[in-house]
Amino acid sequence: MTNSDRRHGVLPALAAGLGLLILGACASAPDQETEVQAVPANYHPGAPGEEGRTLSAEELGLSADLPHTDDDVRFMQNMIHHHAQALEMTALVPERTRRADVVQLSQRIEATQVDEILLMQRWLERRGEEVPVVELRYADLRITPRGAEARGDHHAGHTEHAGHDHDLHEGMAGMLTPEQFQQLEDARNEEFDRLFLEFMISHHQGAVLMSQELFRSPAG
Amino acid sequence: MTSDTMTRPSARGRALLLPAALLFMAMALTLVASPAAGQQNPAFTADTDPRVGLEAGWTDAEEASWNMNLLVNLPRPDGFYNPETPGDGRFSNTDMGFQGNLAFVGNYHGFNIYDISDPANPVLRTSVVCPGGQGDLSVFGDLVFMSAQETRGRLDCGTQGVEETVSDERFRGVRIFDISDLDSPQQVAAIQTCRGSHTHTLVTDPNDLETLYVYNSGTSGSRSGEELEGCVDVRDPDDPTTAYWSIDVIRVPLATPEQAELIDSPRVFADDATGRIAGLWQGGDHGDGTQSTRDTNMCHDITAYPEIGLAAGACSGNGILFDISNPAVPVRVDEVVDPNFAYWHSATFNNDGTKVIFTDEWGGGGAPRCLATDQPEWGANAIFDIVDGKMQLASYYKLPAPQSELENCVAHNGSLVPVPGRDIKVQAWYQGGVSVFDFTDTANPYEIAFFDRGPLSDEELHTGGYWSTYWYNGHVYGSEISRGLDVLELVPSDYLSENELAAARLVQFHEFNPQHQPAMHWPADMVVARAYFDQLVRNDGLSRDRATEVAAQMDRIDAMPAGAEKRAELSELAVQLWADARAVDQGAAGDAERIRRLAGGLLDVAGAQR
Amino acid sequence: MNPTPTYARWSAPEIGALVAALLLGLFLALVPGRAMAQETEQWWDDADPRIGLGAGWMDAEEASWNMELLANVPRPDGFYDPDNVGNLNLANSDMAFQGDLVFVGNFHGFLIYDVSDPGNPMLRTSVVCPGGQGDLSVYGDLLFMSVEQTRGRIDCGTQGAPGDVNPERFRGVRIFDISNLDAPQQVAAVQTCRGSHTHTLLDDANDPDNVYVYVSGTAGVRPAQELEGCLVGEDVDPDQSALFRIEVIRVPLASPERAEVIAHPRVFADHETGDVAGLWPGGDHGEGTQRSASTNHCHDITIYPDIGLAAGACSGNGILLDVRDPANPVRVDEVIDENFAYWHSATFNNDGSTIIFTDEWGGGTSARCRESDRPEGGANAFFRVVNGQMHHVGYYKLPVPQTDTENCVAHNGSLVPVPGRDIKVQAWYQGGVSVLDFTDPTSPYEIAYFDRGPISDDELVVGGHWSAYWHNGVIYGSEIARGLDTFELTPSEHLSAAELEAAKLVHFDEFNPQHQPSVHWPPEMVVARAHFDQLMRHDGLPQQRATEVATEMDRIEGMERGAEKRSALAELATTLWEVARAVEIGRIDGDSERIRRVAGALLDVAGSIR
Repeated sequence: MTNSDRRHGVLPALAAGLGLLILGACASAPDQETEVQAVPANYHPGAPGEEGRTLSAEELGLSADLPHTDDDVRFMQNMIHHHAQALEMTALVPERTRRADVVQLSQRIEATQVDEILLMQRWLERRGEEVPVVELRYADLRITPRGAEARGDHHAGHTEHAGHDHDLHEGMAGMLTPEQFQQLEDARNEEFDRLFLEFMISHHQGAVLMSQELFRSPAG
Repeated sequence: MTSDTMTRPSARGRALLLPAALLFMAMALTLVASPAAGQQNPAFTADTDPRVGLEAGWTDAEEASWNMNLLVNLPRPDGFYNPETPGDGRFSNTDMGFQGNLAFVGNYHGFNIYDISDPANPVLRTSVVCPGGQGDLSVFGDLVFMSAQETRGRLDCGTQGVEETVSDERFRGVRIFDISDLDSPQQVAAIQTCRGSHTHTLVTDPNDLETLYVYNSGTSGSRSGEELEGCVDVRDPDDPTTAYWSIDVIRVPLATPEQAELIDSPRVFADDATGRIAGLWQGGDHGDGTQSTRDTNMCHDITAYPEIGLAAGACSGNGILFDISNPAVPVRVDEVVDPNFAYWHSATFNNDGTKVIFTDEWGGGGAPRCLATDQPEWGANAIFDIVDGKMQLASYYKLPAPQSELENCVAHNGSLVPVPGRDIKVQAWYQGGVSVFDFTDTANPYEIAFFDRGPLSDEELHTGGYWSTYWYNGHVYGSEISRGLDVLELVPSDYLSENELAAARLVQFHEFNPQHQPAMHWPADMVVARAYFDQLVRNDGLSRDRATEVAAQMDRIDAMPAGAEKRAELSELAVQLWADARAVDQGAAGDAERIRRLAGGLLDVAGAQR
Repeated sequence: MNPTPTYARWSAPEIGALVAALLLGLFLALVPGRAMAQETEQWWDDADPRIGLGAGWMDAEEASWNMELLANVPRPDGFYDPDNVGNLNLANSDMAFQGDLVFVGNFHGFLIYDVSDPGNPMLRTSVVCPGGQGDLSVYGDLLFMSVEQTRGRIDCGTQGAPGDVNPERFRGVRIFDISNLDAPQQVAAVQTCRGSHTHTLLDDANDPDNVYVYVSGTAGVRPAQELEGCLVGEDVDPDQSALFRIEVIRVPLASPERAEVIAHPRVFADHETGDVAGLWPGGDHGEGTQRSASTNHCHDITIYPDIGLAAGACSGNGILLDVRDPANPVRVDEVIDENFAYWHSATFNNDGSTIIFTDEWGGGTSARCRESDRPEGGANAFFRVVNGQMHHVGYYKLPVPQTDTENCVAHNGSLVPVPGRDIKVQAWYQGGVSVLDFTDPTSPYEIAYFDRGPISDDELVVGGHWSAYWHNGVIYGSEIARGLDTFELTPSEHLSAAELEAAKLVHFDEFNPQHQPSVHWPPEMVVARAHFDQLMRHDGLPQQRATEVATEMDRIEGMERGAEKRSALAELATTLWEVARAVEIGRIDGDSERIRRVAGALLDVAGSIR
């Protein structure tokens, strides 16, 4: 196969399309003020049977976002803590198991949980809601909407320690109690594998329960 | 899915704007729900079928036929039957092979060679006594191959049997005869195998014309290592030395057939991942209401189609596709199970290798399994499409006429009838007679001809009937277990035109062994185009007016002397038909695929003109 | 019988969707086994130029191969959020085509572009009418638009529709009259219980007065107080549930304002028990398999009216519908796939023998083309259709890994009409555009691509190509965040100039990709040349013969139209037919099928000359 590398910026193609003035506006930073006189009819239809009308340039604005509810926000915040504990559990794995498949499984869980924590943090941030920052002791990880990195010394904002010494979210479905977490931390080899899988399954079942509750809430 | 998907009112006859193949596909949807055997004879129901209630008799049973005629019956020669009873299994006729004007008919007692120069008057040429069963035969050049499986089989072809449990004189395996002197066939080799030979299959190597391979299928119990070194009679798949769970590959140097030898017993049923040699069907049923299927520790029969590099193995609990591009090393490429199959028995490909029929020998061949109360999907053919190398079940075909409790009956051996443009098979059903059916549409097979006799006896069930029925160079030959050799002919009908039959007769093989399936090619002859034309008209694929025009053109051109002008006229007619097909593609009524086939037939004839 | 609480698919930034994606992630995280083992095998080429492209919104680095970006037109003012370019409420979505116009859907309304010069698309009209996804179809003077979000309003207002029950809310299919392109008028707005995530047009040759719309609603069911009859929940009779069905809208063409829902076909019902929830219940398929969504809705349906079939991508199943009676689609087959998370969309090949289904694993907002993602997950699956049954034969996934800040998974595409081959152009969100050949669906391969770097290096900003469709010679890409792209394919070793030219001969006045038209090529010499190039690419004709044929084609092409040219074409076709025959009989090596295709195309040209 002879792949010819044709990397180039988008500008040449845009230049070719300069018949549309709006292109000039977007080719660089779109947040610059631009003239919109060349924008063709920006039409706003009415309900069936009703006349519509053309919008003026001033009327071009953003439309309503989808509403979110307090239940949505609470779900997101709780789920971040929930995910965080899963990460503390997976952090225990390398030193406590002898099974490659358990290691693989834990790595897989780790990858998706970090992704999803970021997704949820950013969702909250966009909507101006409080964003729990995740500080993980065992996983040595700090997760903020900007990304995940090795933990430093400083703590900021509402941080989350999801290990066994924190009982803030004990009430959430599937969360390990401090005793259970200690049990897991103390276990080794086959005993650890068994507990890890058992706890992880009930942990995930809890997350499913939380989601189902959200679905049952009015606008969830 | 179930049949009630098909009960909605049929489509409103809207013209579909696509190639005929698609139209056809869409129509098939209304005809087929889950694969099942529906009404499979277009002319008769079980109430009106003339095969029902025929009078019994060994040599004088009542007969019924439809679209085919029995030309002649030649009873087994003296010494090859027991005058006391038709059901003496020591003298059963079995499978056949063909060469030139000769038909070779196997028998548990040896084999018989018939001269069929005049098919209406076959003449016994040679009888060869060499007991051992089944006596399945193949013929290749000067060599005849014969399967022997019974413990009474002897190396020296003697009739006295073998008393001892372990004996140097016993023969179970594949015999090779030199038949260069037809009056005195000489045994040149006898390849012993652990489980004997129930059937065997010749496999040629397109890249090595000096060597012939034989795949041997042994289905009996293994003998001991004391009698034949290396045979381990242990039915334990965890014992790597077991004589079960394999087939045998024999290599025959054609210049020195006496050096033929067993070169391998490959573990073709092994699990690809784990290597466990019993990797396929373990035996048992498939859930509630399903058939119990034998476990897969052997093949019963293998049909090789060297020109497409594939073989179909009917292997007890599974149907298997083998890649045989290297004949010495068959490689399993696909396998299927079927909840209606009891015992995967034999296989036949269609000519272009896109379909394969497997038969289910439910009851083993000696039982009456075509009763009105028997499920039509049991003891039947299962018809598969081969899609990207995988077998996909399309439907079942079973002898459409119920048989009595005195007639052993189940799907058995057959071969293709070489009608261009269609897939047709002629098949033996033991005392169910012979049935010819069309499976061009794999989802909707239907019978187009049959011949049947009443039971051998009206008092008891004797095992009899057709072992095999094969089309060979224009006629159908039937090996009747207890009534001898039958020769039949197909006759034109609504379901098979004179031209289609004439085209089928154009296909001539110098040699034919049904389990070594040859590709059929039709000569560049106007009657082939006419066969396509008949199929086009039968399927309403061309308007009546246009068909009349085309027919007149074909007549006119047919009468022209060979040469450049005829070539040009044929090409021009093909151009016109191609344009007709194009119009169909774009929405006109008609069958674009069959129109193009007709055009292609004309181009073939054109290409033969200079 | 318990309809489980449903969740919305993403595509709308509804929280339910997000949760669904999270849940899916949770379950996937728990899946060990085979899937993981495959991760260790590298499935890409490190030298692929798509790896490591620099990020940026409108200035991302680009890589392309065998195709060129002709133009990019960013979304107009009002249709993007400069502070949040990934704002899904302003995302571009699906497209439809009519004449020189491209209709680009947007969650905020739709955009009409004049593409008379594909190198310079001009925005003709932008229409503000929020509600998402804004998927479009165009039919004469009517434009259809899908609305599913709760913020959608009957009057197209931008202020949203607050509250659980709001009489001004609109979720369903809007119909616009576009006879005045400057001022499209909403003439009907057909409300449905779950809104319209996608929709599909269906016309019926026997019913020229109406057009039909199949509605796929995937979001939550609204309260019955808002729209009568919208019932869901454990205490609702399953037969009354708004889940487990599609909607059929009939649109009288003379009075589209009278459009209404006329049927709610229970296309997932168990054919035997009648249980409306008759298909996949949700969950994985065994150890190491993907968890597939439960089948309570279709995500998208592609109808191929010329063959009377529709392929439904229905969350947990791929289904085949007989749609010859538009109001009563009948399910004729269904499949599941252990690698599929969510059955998303479908495309037939031109002769209807192969169907591509896509799996929108991760919902479209997730990075699912990373090195660690399985090449069978979030991919295309190919099915052969045989006797109305679908059989899985292969997968295709974008063959290059994307970063974890690029949402990427199989998404929408259409056929590239190269005669003799099956080729599809397809959008993969931020994975870019990939053009693949699936003529042999067991081994599809890429023949061209275009890709940009991520919108952002720091975080996943949702964007990329929603759809990429071939229309009248040009590929149009609807980029969620970057606007409308136009591309052209360029000749390469994988696609000759003649093949490309032949593809460009195919012209549709109107094209809605989910309403798949059958492709016919005009009788032009370049079609024969396209087939000839394919023959050469497959070494299907000995070199000397090929040279002769090429020379003869050149000579004939230089001839005046007329009888002489017609017979010269017929003669060349006849000669090729002879060659194909010689190949079949085994006399020479070659590709008889492709030789016959060249001959057939020559016959087509001959037939067009009087």
